Amino acid sequence: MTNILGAIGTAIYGKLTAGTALTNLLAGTASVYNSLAPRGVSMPYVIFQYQGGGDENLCATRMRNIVYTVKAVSSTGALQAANIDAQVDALLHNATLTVTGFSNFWCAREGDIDYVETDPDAGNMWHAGGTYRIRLAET
Amino acid sequence: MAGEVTGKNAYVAFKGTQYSLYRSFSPEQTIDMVDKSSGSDASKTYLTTLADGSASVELVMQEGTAGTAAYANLAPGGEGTLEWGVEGTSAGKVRHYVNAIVKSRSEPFKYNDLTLCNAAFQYSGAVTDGTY
Repeated sequence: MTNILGAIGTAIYGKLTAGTALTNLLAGTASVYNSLAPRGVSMPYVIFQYQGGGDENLCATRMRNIVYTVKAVSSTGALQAANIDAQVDALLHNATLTVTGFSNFWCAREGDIDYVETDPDAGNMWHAGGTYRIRLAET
Repeated sequence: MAGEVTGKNAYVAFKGTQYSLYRSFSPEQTIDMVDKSSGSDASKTYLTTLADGSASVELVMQEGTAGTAAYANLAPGGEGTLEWGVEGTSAGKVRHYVNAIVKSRSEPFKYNDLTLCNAAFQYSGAVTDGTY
């Protein structure tokens, strides 16, 4: 079986890091991480992670219906996180991802994320982002 | 669980074109009847007359030439062999076929979902039941 989650992760990473309007707001041009940022890494950055979903099994062609969380993490404040989230949204909502072995016929934001947490080491961390539904058909 | 059948291996084709991206296929056979009850009968009784039948299919549309060809093959008025085998086409599996005419087709689409193609068939002849 194709490593579909790996392929989607590669596609999301490529899409986000290619967006200079987004990366200009981040700590670095590669401040985009899958699932977990390295400990102590500079903020702000973007985290994306698998949230749920799987096969549709509605016809003979293999189709995937998967939800990813993509969010900005900022130590500066909610406004910075929200501005980064807006750039992520511009890159992903109604976009087409290049996923090896599949055609991406649907990628759209469904939910919003907005909260703050306090980390003993990093202090306050503002999170802003969304959940994106990604639907794929095997080619 | 042995012995149960799903549609995942089914074969559906019209005029030689297989519709592997079908989502559902519904063949139906009927027979006309005339009421032969009379006189003091307390219950109706019937005579069978002519067999009839119809079928419908729902497909996932593909982009490009594959989708165009699938759609064109289902043009209303088109006539040819409609064939289906719910367990696939391996030797010994059940096979049905009938001459049929496309009565209608539609291509409903939604902003947030796949585009589908629906077609309805009217049988024009007897269904042949056999095996592959």
